[in-house]
Amino acid sequence: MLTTTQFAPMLRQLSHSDKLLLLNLLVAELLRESGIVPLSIQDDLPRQGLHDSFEAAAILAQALKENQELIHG
Amino acid sequence: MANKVRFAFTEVDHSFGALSTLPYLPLTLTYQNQSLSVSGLLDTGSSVNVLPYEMGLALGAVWENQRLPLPLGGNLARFEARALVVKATVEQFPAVDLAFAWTQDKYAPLILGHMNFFLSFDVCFYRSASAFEISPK
Repeated sequence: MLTTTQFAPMLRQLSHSDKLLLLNLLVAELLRESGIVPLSIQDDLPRQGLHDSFEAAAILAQALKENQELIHG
Repeated sequence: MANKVRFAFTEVDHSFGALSTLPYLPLTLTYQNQSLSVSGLLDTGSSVNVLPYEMGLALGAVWENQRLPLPLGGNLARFEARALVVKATVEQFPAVDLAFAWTQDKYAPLILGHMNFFLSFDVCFYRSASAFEISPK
């Protein structure tokens, strides 16, 4: 795996648009890992509320299962 | 419902009187050895339980130690949330595990929703009488 010191010179050689796309990719990755809905698509999901946060509910079910396994082995 | 307990709705705004009454349930949350007496809003319109940030901290939970992020909708969509399982005790009923979406929103209410409060307790609302009854599943 490359270190930051190794790939920084390569990043500098990217075009302006590729640098912007790379930034976009990294931000999207970080948002997804954090479970945050990007601001850019929040307006596209006007109907999504706590009443239909089913993906969140599925993750809570997983957390409960893992907790039970931790307690009961 | 057998083994049930009845509660009155709580008036949240005196200027609106009975119009502002909501079903708040007093319960005790316990995480590891830390306990907290709180009131949670019974929200049949929420698919998940929600725990406000400060309440999680008061229970001794460490944000960085919770490794399951989850996406919430509505007003809470812009805040990061992570799964946190705590023990909950209602009245004399046996303690149950409740899984919360622990949000970084400091002003979110404590919400008791379908996953998994309403999977753990049966609740009957008598809105015209401003009361509700609850029993373990």
